[in-house]
Amino acid sequence: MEKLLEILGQIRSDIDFTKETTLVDDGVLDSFDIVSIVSELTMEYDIDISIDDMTAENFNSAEAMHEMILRIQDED
Amino acid sequence: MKNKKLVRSLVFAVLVFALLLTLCDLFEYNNDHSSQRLQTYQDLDRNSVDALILGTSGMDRFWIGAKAYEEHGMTVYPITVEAMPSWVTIPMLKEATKRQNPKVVVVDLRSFVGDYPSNSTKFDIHSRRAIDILDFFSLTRFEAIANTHKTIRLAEVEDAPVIDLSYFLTFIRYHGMWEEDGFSFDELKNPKSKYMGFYMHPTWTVSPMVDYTPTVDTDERIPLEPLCQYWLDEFLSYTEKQDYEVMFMQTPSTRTRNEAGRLNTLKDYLTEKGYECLVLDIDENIYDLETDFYNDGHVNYYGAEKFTEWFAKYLKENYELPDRRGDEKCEDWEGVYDVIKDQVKVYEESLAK
Amino acid sequence: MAYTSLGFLGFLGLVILVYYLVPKKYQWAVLLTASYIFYLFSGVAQLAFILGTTVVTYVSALLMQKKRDAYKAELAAIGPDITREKKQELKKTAGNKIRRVQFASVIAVLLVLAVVKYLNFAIESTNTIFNVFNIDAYLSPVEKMIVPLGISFYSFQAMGYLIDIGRGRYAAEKHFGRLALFLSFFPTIVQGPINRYGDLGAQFNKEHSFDYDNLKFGAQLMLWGFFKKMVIADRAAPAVAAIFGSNYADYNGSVYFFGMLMYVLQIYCDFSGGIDIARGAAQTLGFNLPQNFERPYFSTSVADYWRRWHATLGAWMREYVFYPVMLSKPLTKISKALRKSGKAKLAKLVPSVVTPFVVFFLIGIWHGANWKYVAFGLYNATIVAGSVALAPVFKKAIEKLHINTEAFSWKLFTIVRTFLVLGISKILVKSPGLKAALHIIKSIFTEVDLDFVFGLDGKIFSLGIDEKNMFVLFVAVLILLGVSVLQENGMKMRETLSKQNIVFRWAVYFIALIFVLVFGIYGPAYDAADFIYGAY
Repeated sequence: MEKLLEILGQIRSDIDFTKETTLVDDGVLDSFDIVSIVSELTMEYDIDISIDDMTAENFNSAEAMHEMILRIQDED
Repeated sequence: MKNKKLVRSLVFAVLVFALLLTLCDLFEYNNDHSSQRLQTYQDLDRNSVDALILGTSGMDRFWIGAKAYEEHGMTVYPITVEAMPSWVTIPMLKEATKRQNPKVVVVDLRSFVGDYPSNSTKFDIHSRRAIDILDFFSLTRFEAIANTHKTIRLAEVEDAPVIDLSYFLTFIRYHGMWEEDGFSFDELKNPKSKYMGFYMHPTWTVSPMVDYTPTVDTDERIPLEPLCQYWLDEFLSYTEKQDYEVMFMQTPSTRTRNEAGRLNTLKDYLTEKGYECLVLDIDENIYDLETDFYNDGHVNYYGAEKFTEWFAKYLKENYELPDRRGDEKCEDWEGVYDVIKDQVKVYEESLAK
Repeated sequence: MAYTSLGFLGFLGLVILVYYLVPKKYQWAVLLTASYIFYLFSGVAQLAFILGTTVVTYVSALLMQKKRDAYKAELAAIGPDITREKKQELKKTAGNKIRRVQFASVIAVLLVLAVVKYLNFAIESTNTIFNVFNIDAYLSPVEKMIVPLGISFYSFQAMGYLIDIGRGRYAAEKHFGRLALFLSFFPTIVQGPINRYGDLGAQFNKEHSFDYDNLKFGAQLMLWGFFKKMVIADRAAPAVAAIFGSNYADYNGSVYFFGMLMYVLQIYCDFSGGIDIARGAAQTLGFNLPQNFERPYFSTSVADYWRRWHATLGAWMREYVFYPVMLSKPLTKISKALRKSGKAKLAKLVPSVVTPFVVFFLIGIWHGANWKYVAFGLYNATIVAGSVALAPVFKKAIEKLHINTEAFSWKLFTIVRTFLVLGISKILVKSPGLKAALHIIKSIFTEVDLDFVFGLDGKIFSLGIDEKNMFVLFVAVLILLGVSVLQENGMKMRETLSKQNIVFRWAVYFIALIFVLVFGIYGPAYDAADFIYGAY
């Protein structure tokens, strides 16, 4: 989780990722931010994020992203 | 709570409806002389009109009712619309006989001689000049619309106009009037005719004719447009049923071959049916074509003087119209002839400049 | 039947009446009937197209659902002892099966759309290529191609639905009527918004009781739409037609700039006004359609603009084009390779730069089958990709120049800058052709006609909008601007209004009504132009 927050902080330093829970729904993150996040996560965790994972729920909060990462790691 | 909302909604709906009506009233086709003429007529005392003239510009340019009143005491009023089409003649007559019971109705043949309007815009405008001066909530208005619709259907032409909602909610048609130059609400307040129906125009009333096409004389019998024939028959059967005294007249004008031929047909047809039918040519003993007319279809004021002189006598001799001078009911007619003459002087002076 | 016609108002009134009177379980049937009647006004032959797409969509979605259910049943049958390998294998085979149906059905829907809208464009382009390479061949374009009403809109909704079902986002609709309604819902069929089944479909399954507020708010939104469309857009239209419709060399740069302003105004008010009418009409029936416009001309960047302008198209593109392209194998491979060779920054940049070109190419041709729309798309893509790529440079420059990006003046600058960039993109679309567009853009920057700018020659009133109309337009735009600023600051106009006392409220309603009735352009004298977006 620590590592994730660090990655996210590098992409958007202006957002407090520990608090936000509607990052996508409220348009805090735009599609380019999502692109950067996905690309970072793919590298840092060595996972394949598929199109099926690209839902608002999976990116609405740092917590949700963390869960997604764990799930994908588990499935591999 | 629910009832309150319901009441509120109903009040709102009523207000919206009232707004629409107000707008229809404000933005209507009524700063036109036909509308003013009708308005004045509708305000005359009940049963105070002896004879009625029904027709087109071929009547209101010719007949100075105020002069006939001044000189003979007769009250003969023109209800006219520019190029009044045959299909609105019945509703127009109905409107004119609502409060008056004229001894004779003089009908303009020009309503039946013409061609079917050549395109939908023309058709629309011809119809609406008549429809839109009738009272908003009157049956005559609905009848005029219905007749227009019937005509469109019977005519079977390609470029036919469509009777849409704007025929009923006139506002749809006229809401853009504010764009016009010189628009003001004052003008929309439907002023009355100051000349008891006589048509006055700053230049035409006092101008001589510049150019004209001479009449084509013919003995041919050219048939009417089928629709004009249809509405003429409808008109005749209506007036017969109502037992109105009707006569027909074509005021003096130059004519094309088509018009002359159709007038021949009309004269035969109506005379045979027992109607008086006057087809007046430009009598050189009375009129000077160049100074008494402003164009080949219409006299100016000087020609109108001569026409009225003659026609008033004709009416007096044939229909025993009473002398109404001094009658309280006819106060509106008093002094109008002087008003006309004064106005003509004003026009003459400004034309001289 | 145009949304601004009295016919439509009457139609809607009738639908509302019947809709709330019938038993609630038949409400969907009322809407479906109404939608198909509405559709029939555009022609009988067109009905075949939407019905075909609906059947394909319905059957394919059920098929995918069946395969997914079978996969789940198999998993359940094996129980929790399943090995990871077995599970992955099952998932893979099921996934492949579903993907095949998904691919085939999406292609089928897309093919109809492509043939109807782009076949002639493709044929003409091929002819041009033949010409360039001196090949002696000519393909004749199809004459009288039927373009069914709203084909882009319902096809995009169908494709979105099929992709979502393939991805397992939600269960396929078993009720044919409801799916048919989703694809033909009459408030949305002419010009969107583009709905997703997850949002709109759920609303079809709900029963809707009559709600006073919905009716009131819906009617208000419609009135606002009429204002934008009939008072502003249709009033600005003659100037746009006069300036961009004629021989483009006839005017100078200042006139073109004025024309650009009028066009930008017209297209926004026409499209967003139409959407307001659509959303308002849907709300009177108890439906909540997504926002499609959020004051796009207040955007601070082109990317921001595309989130605010035709937002449902943007969302569709993001969901079904942007993410898939970005996550596609070639792109991820390139990214990975770059990263391995130590070019981390470039690795991050590649998808952000490549993807916009794909998306905006599609957005371009969505707007029309013509190379100028392709140019329009590429222009937007270049700016969006460029601003992502150059973001670090800009950041440094701003720091160096000590610009306070929080200040209002900076925000205003970014808004004006974006507005101009967009205005130019709209000239690309509105000009008779690419060459003309370039000439016009050049003249805007090189020719200034001060007489025209200061209104000394009165020429401004000779371009289709006379003095009186210009005044009305000016007042209307001020109203629009005022309301937009309030909305931008978070005020919800209709809610705020409903909290005022009744005299003020009703005064606002009646003034608005009178304004639209008197100054709206409608009726037989003016044949209100069909919505610009109607043919898309």
